[in-house]
Amino acid sequence: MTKKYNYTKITDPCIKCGKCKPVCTIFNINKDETTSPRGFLELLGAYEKGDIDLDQNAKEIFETCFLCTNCVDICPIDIPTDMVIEQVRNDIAKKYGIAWYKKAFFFLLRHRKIMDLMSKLGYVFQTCGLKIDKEKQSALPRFSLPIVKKDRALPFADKTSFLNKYPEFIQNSQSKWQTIETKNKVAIFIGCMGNYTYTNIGDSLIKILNKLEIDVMIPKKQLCCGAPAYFTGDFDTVDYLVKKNIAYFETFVDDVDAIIIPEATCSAMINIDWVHFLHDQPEWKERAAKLAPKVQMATKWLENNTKLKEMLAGKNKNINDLVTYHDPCHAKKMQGISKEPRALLSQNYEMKEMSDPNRCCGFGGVTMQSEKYHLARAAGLPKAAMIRDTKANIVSAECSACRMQITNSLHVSDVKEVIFKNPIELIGEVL
Amino acid sequence: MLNKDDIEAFSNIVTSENIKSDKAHLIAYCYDATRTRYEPDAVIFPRSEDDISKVLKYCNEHKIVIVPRGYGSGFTGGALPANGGIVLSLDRHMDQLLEIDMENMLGIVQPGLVNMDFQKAVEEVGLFYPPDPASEAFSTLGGNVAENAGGMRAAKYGITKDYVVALRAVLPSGEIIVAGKKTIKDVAGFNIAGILTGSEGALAVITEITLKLIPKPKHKKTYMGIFPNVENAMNAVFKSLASGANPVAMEFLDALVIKAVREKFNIDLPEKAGAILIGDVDGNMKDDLDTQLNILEESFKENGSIDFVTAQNDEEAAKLWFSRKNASPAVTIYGTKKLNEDISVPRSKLPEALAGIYKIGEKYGFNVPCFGHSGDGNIHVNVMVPDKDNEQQMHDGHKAIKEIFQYVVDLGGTLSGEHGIGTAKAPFMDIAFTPSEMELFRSIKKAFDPNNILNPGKMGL
Repeated sequence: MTKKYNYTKITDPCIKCGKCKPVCTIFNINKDETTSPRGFLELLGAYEKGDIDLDQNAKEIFETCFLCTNCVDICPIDIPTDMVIEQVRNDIAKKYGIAWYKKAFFFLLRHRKIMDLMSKLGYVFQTCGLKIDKEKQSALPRFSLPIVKKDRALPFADKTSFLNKYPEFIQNSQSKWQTIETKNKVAIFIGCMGNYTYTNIGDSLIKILNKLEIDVMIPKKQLCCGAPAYFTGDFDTVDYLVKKNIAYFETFVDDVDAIIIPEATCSAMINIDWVHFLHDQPEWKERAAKLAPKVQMATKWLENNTKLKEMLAGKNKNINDLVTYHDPCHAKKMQGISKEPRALLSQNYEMKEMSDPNRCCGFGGVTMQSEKYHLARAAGLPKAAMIRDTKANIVSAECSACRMQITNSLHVSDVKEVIFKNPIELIGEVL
Repeated sequence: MLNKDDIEAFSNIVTSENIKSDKAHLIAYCYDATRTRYEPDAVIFPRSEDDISKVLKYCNEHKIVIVPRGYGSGFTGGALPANGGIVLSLDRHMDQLLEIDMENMLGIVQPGLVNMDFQKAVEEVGLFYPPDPASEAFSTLGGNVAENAGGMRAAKYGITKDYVVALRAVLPSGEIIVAGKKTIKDVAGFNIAGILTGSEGALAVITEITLKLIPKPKHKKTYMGIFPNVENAMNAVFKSLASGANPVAMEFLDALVIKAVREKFNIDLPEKAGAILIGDVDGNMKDDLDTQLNILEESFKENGSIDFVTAQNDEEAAKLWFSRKNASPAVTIYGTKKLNEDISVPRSKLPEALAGIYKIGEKYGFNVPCFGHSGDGNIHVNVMVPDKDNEQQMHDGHKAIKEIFQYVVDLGGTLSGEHGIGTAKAPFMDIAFTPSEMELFRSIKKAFDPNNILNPGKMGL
């Protein structure tokens, strides 16, 4: 038995003010103090002290957190509740094991080639099981499976993955542009959903970089950032993916200005959670911390380092669409990114803010999307309603997890007229 | 302790979904913002007034203690199960806004509705609910009524009790009472709604609240005055109010708080500032706001203000308010343990009260930064104990608090302006009340709750 993580160091300072309760995604569904940030902290402290066991009841409680980090954002003393939840999920995984289908999924995340093959097979066979809506890039299962109910809108795999579609280097610039400060070259980390499913994001990003005359590197051996496994407590998988990626990134990071990611979750995972995860491995932690500043969410890097906005200002206004922007938890709350995508989109699109763009969409991770889908569904309904109320026909967010969740929430709320697009896709359409 | 039959009886009333007695629930419902912990024996989530009536009737017959609870964000332990028993959590099912009555300008709500959600809903139709405790976003209206919560806007608009028009409540016997009508005038019978307001859940369980609303003022402007010392600032408060200014809030920070805000948040405040007054003026006519600001500026100048500024937009307003809103976390630079009390004195006694409080702090060697509501005489006194693990220091800290209470009561003030008594201030009740007054409280408690099952031990009863 390994030593228990020192939860009380983080949970004891909680002053129990209650500020975190009204912003908590799961508290708003359950209205139960056991599933509120304050309650999680109290229970984790009790668990360390031996006052409660990690029994089925406690497991259920700790699995209900959506990891939206609203509580971390509002906490007057900045308690990292998300970190201790991730930690206890590792204890849960050790005690109860990980369900077969999650294990299989994480296995695929570790083995890119097999995932590629599965995805190809999936592409061929998915029409048997799924009714596909090309425009919305969503698919409805034709029958219920043990972990997937029939009424859901799911993402489906594209024919060729992003990483297999493009060469490793794309020269867009004249070499004279390079200076000592800038290499005029970026690497793209695409993220698994962008690689297999929403491949249009990568196509659009390549197009944007081409118009900006910035050279592109597509590091072919990039693996999953580890986020799905981290949120589920499968730390062995995280450890494998993080270290493989770090060692690989180090081989090219000095040749590029940045590693850009059109995904909130992957970018937050890489430049914030990797360091957290490696807290007790100082050498790796330092290597992760060194990489972090170079890893940036795509809209942020484009807005702060290129002339994209000026270029967009010279293009036509789109008068047919109304766009509403949803703030992914991993962008606004974790990385403070909310102005950048809006600044770029508003050059060409009419924008209408929804009543609470910062409210979590309710994706919540692999467990929430499978065993606890009823909670993800409940958390998604208010988001769908506020999107409908804007009368926008496009909802945008730089996050494919939000995309999967919001697309399904709109589907189950019967909001047919709204489609989801990553801001990178919308920008690509204008150029 | 509850036995199996009790749990089964409650399950039959509220369904098994709505009664929890697993260890996790007992732990999660054992605390509030006092950080004191008492585990209950069970938690019940009633679905309706009818559920509450049946639950209370059963508790009364079986002498089971029951404690009503909203969001559990109280500062004095009002919702803590200090003697075990059942926590009756009203925020799960009974959190609805039932009606906004535009003609009578009333809002009718269930007790579990969060204050801020109610404010937002009434403002959408052009109305205004002024009571704004600092916990407005995370405290329920039921809790606000039970503790008679105040807020920053009290100087102009009053506190919770000024807005409670009528209440529905369940007595410990299970009987349902209606206290008050939708009328503005009502002199028939005792003012039971008035007695229940601030009763800390010890007399009855409130199930429906009818609250007065007023039209929302169209304009608001923020001001800040800087003074060399608190005495000047307090005199400026008296002068401006007597001269016809009617600010929504008149908040003050003393020299220690100013220093703390400057150091902790790197805020640009003048070195020589010995006190600051911050507040808003509001009204329907822009001219009226300007008149009020002129009165404030003149009164401030007459009393030696160093500077007077007004905010030109929301961003500037937020900047002016920052120091006040972050006063509480800022003062932690003075010690690891903050003993904070919210004493209240007649406004005229503010300078005297502050001078005396500082003196008591000096006697024990503690910094005592003070801030709060100078417009209404309510001060947040923070006795800062340098080292919370030092027993002698903690002992002295509590002694200082007791002395402060005695001093404040001697000035004609009271133990609590807005937090209530609960368990935290119960030991000090005999400072503020005579034995016969305490006996009267006990008699009232007994008339409502002869078996002492509702929130026993609170307020020293």
